[in-house]
Parts: sequence; C-alpha cells; structure tokens
Amino acid sequence: MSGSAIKITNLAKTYGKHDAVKQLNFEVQKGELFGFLGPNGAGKTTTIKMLTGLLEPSSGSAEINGINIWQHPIDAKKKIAYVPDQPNLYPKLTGWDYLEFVASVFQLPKDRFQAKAEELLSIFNLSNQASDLIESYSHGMKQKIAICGALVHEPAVLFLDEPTVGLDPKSARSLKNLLRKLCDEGMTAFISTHILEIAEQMCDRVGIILDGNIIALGTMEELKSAEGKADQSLEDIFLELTGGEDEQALINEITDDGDK
Amino acid sequence: MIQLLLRNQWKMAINTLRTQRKVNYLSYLIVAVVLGALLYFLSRSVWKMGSMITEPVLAGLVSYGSLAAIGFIILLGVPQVFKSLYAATDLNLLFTMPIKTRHIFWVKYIQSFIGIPLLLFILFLIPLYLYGILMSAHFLYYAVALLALLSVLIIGLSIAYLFNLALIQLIPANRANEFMTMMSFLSGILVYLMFMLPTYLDDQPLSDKLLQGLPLFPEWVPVTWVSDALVTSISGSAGFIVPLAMTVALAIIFMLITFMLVEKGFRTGWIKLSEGTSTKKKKKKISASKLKAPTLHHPIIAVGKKEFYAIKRDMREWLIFMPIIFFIVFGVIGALSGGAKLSDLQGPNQITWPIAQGILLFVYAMFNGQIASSSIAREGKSIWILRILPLSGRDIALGKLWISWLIPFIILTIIEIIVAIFLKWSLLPFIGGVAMKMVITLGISGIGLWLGTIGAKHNPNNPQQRLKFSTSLILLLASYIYLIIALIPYILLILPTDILDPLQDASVTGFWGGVLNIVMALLSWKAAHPIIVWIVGVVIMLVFSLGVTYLFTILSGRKIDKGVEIEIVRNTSSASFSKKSGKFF
Repeated sequence: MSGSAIKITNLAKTYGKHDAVKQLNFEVQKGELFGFLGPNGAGKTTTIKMLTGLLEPSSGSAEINGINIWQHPIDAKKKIAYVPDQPNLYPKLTGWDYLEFVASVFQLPKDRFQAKAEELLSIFNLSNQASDLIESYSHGMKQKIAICGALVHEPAVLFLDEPTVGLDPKSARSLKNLLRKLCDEGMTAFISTHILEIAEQMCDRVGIILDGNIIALGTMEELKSAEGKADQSLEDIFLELTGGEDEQALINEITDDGDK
Repeated sequence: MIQLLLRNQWKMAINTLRTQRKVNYLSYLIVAVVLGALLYFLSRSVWKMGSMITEPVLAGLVSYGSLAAIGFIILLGVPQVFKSLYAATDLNLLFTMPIKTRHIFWVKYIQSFIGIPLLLFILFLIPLYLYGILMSAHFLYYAVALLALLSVLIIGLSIAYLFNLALIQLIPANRANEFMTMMSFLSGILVYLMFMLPTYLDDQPLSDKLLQGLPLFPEWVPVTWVSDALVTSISGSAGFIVPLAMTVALAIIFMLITFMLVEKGFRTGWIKLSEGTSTKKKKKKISASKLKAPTLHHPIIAVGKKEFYAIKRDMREWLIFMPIIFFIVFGVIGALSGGAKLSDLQGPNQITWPIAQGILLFVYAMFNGQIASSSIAREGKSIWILRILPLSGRDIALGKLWISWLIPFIILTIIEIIVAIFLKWSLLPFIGGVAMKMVITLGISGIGLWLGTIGAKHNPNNPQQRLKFSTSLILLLASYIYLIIALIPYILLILPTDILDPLQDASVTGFWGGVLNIVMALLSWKAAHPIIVWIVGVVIMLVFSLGVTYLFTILSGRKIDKGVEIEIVRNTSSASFSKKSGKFF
C-alpha cells in the first residue's frame, strides 16, 4: 500500500441554508478497506455521491488516485465503481446483458470479461439467472448483479453504499470475503454501512460522520484508545459518539419495566 | 370502516394539495378556467338555442351524449381503475390489516367518481337543468335527469371495473404492465366502435339524423331508455317511469356484478400481480460455462444496444408506432370502400411518389423526435449508471441518437419498399427519396434528443409519457419547422423548370410575392445550370441537416454532462391525486 486512493479536501455540500456535509478532510490509502459510518441523515450518501461524480460539491475537492473527479470526470470514473443502496438497474436487460454493457463501456478484452464475469456470477450464485431479465430479480439479486457489474472491470476504488442490505447470509459472507481479498490485492473499498459488526470485523479504518462532520477517524484500536475504552465494541463507541446511548438507555429501561 | 378509509383518503388528498409545488396550483387554475369556459360555452349554447331544441332532437342529443359519457369513462377509466385496484401503493398495507376486501373495494369505487365521472356529471347536469328551466319543465324532470345521469355514470364506471376484474384473470402476471397498455388500446377501439354505432345502424349521416329528430338507436339500446325517460318527464307525464326504472335497474345490475367479482378479481388479482414477475417461464438451467459468448462493442454502440433492448423487450414502447397501423388500416379501408383499385394507383408515379414522400416525412417528423426524446427519460431512476460510467455526454448522446434514428428508419423504409413494389415506382427516385429521408430525419432525431435532455419526464407506467407537456409541444413545432426548412432545397430539386412560365404570369405581391421571386430565380438558375444547381441543392441539404444534427447532439452531450433533471411521476395511493412530481438529478 502506498499513496492515497481517495483524497478529500474541504469537501462540503450545502442545500440552501442546510449544510449536509461540512468541510471534510481525510484520505483513504490504496488497498485500504474504509468503513464510513454515521446515523441516518448524517451525510454518508451525500459524501459518496460527491466522491463518485453523482453530486457536485458546493466547495472543496475529491481526488481518486490523484485525479480530481469534478475536473477530469472521465479519467476518474475509469478508476472507480459504485454500488448504490437502491440498485435501480436497467429492467429490460438480462444480468448478462448488463455485464456486457459495463464491459463494453470500459472496453475490456472479451476473454478477460468472460472469465471475470463467470467468476463473479458463480461467487454470487447468479449463473443460472444471468439470462433472466433484471426486472424479474429480487432486491438481493439486483444488489448482487450490481456488485458483479461494479467488480467486472476490476476498479481501483470501489464505493459501496449499504452493500449487504437485501443480501442473504451466504452472499453477504461471499461479499465480505471477496472485498477483503480484493483489498489485500490492492483495490480500495469505501463502504458505508449501518451494520457495525461488518465495519469492526472487516475494515482497516473507520470514519464516523455526524451532522456532516467527521467526528472520529482511525483504526479500531485508535478509536478505542482515543475514547479510553479498550474493552468496548464499535457499537458502544458509535452510540456514545453519535448520541444514541440516551435512546439505548431508554429502550433498556422500557425493556426492564416490561420484564418486571 | 368505509368512512374511516374515506377520511384517510381525504386527509392524504389535502396533504398532497398542501405540500405540492406552487407551479402545480397554477396548472390547477388553468384546468379550472378551461373547464369553466367549457361549461359556460355549453350552458350559453343551451340557453340561447334551447327553445329550438325540439323533444326528438333532445332525445337524440341525450342518447348520443349518454353513449359518449359511457365511452369516455371506459376509455379514460380503464387504466385509472387498473392503477387504483392493482398498482396503488396503499394496498400492501390495507390487505395486511383487518379490513374486509369489499370495504377497500367500496372506497376505491367511490374514489373513482372523483375525476372523469364527476366532471361529466357537472358538464351534463348543469346544461340539462338549464334546458329544464328554459322549457319550464315539470319538477320531476330534474329528479329524473339526476337519477338517469347517475345511472349512466355508474354503468360506464362499472364496465371499466368489469373490464379490469375480468381480464386480470386472463393476464399472465409478468405481462400485466404491457397488457394494460394493450387493454387501453382495445378499450379505445371498443369506444370508437360504440361511437360509430349509429353510422353502422343506418347509412344516413349522424348529424342529419340528429337534426331531423330521427331515433339514433333502436328501442332496446339502454341509452334510448335514458332519453325516453328524460323527454317524457319534461311534461310531467308518467311515461318516464318504465324507461327510468330500466336504466336504474341496469346500473344496479352492473354494480352488483362488479361487486360479485370483488373477492375473485380484486384480492386474488392483486395477489397475482404482486407475485408479479417471479411467476415466470420455466427457467433454463444454464451452467456458468454455457453462458453465451460475450459480444462487446464500442461504448457508443453499447449505449444504443442497451436502448434497443429496452424498446424491444417492452411491448408498450412499440405502441408509439400504432399510428402507422391506423394510417395503413384506415387508408386501405378508405381506399377499398371508395372503390379504388390498385391498378389505378400504379400508373401515375409522378403523383404517388411525391405524395408518399410527403406522408412519410410527416410520419418521420412525428416519430423520430419522440423516440429520440424518450431515450433520455427512459433512464428513469437508472440514470446513475450512465453518470458513474466513464462515458462523456457526447458519447451517451451519440449512442442514443443512432438507435433512435435507426429504428424508425428501418420500419418506415420496409413499408416504403413494400409500397414501392406495389405501386411500381422507378428505382432511381425511390433510392433518392430514401437517401434524402435518411439525411433529413437525422436532424429531427437530434432536435428530439436535445429537447429530451431539457424536458425529461419519467412515468414508469406509461412509456409514452416521457416529455413534459410544454416540451412535447415545442418538439412537435420544432420538428415540422425543421422539416420545412430542410426540404426547401429538395423541393426545388424536384420542381420541374417548365412551371416557370405559369409562375411568371402570377400576380402576387408582398411577402409571398418575394418568396415567388426567389423561387423563380432559383428555377431560372436550375434551367440554365441544372447540374450545378442540383449539386448545390444536395450540398445545402446535407450541410443543413448534418449541421443541425451535430449542433443538437453536442448541445445534448453538454446537457448530459451538466446533469439531466428527470421529473419522476410517482403513483401514490390516491387515485384522484395519483401523480406527484419528483426531481431526480
């Protein structure tokens, strides 16, 4: 691992008077699996959309492998792939057609595409459904074919927004293993998730965003030592940092009352 | 329970009204003004001419009006009822709650009256009452008019419901969306036949029969009962009782049949559709090694191929070409009923060929722009894919342009080849005409594409609705204006120079005189230097058409790079307020 795959400098997004994302500054190193956490409405998806060229920042810059995505979008997009939380794909394409379309855009050699596509379809148990129209897929299957489409061109940086939502346990495990393997081989992954166990088990580093600000950034060990609670889980740290502990205490109280 | 559900619908309707964008209020105001003007026009006509409307004429008007009301409700109600019965988002929740299916159905049925039936009720009742006042009708007339009109609306609405409840049993669930569009088309034909009924029953034109006060329909047709009841009640005679009772009874029977199908047609139909696309054909078990060999293309070709699949695999997309079938079917029927023979048309190539070119260009102008503009909004919520891929706006625009130009070109050229064989056109003008259309229609596609980027609208249930209303009007105008300008050099090329003499004799002044002078000057050059003028004409046509295509493709590409805004039409639970605009990108 050397050099930064993602460099965020003073990145901000404002909607009218509302600051959705406030002056973010951080880097993700090449080969790193980075977990991006935060409560609902904290600014995770907005940040990912700015990093992938889907949403124009109000200020600041985002670089992918040293290329500013808003100044040189095509060059930057050649390096990235994105899997959104809602896999809205082309309903009238088959899974295979969709992968062919992505491969054509990235101008992959036929042999390389076929080998990679078949490998991915096999990993996600989609080989038998590859000839069916995407409109007949379940949410999980759409999510899986979106992941296959993202990985088929072997991107340098992969952005995933809630990738495990809708996946069956086997596919979720396959995805986790695959991501770890790909990152070990040099790919960078930027994942937003609410499932803190995933972040705790898989991620090299974690960033927590709240109200558009990064409130914690580092490895699990760094976060624990910064909070002075080495024995606590990521969930405890997250709830403490994001103010969710009050709600948790209330739930415990209600549950205790109910038990009495 | 029904009351509770209705109250809930009412709250949702009020909240929908309260939270929408201000521009929508303006559109409501415009609609209200238009309807108000229509009502005023109708009422004024009745008030001014009412005394001239004799009872037999009134009978004809009422029976044909009733038929029209039923026809309108079926035509516009069938898709609306389908949406409210099977596509409303609230059904998911309602069916999991302890609510009887027939209560949910009642609410949907009552809700359906708000919309076209209510509008027709107002547009019919007020002029009828004004007529009653004018003719000093008996007080019973007003009650009869109210009851008869309500019965007519119930009959129309019940037919729309029956259509849906019965056909849902026959539709394979995975084809429901496409079948729905086809059903709208079939109901259109049914209504067309209904309107033509008086013409089929008698050779005399409808207007003549109406003015002469002759009966439009036989006694057994229910709309005749409506007119009988109304006409006899004017004087207060008891003769209205039987026809009115028959009309009301028919409405009740229709309603009862509809409600008998509730459990079978509504609940199980909804379940069938909710299972939706997963009830599909037998899956072919394909092992990973047997997946088809990949066919990869240049990105521009790949974008076009993706568009082609989206069109090819959705029957609703092909309905855009339905006017061609109408042209052909009604054209052939018209020609045959007029006693024409094929041999009559085969001789005069110099007449049939230019006329066919005119018709084909008119059809191209209608389709090319529409298909190209649709290609932008077709992306809908999937637009993120194109934005995330390393594709420039220019590449995306070119990809969409080539396919949306090629599809109508292939279809219409095949038709033109068939026509050319039948009418025995000479080869050279035929090829020349095809080449000319090939170039000229590119410009229409380019303009359509650009308008698609600035006025995109996506309604998942209606692939024909892919442009905002104002943009579609601009597209229509722009296509024809472009076509007229692009055709100027071409028309000059095919105009024979021997018309110069008669033109010189014409005494036209002003603007048209100026135009005539230009035409004469050009024709004089053509007479003096035919080859040079021909080459210059072709070059001008090429430069103009290709220039317009280039310009609008580049503009489309730039707009795509900046980000296209697609207005997403969402279906909500409320049938009467079923459209809500949302912005995407």
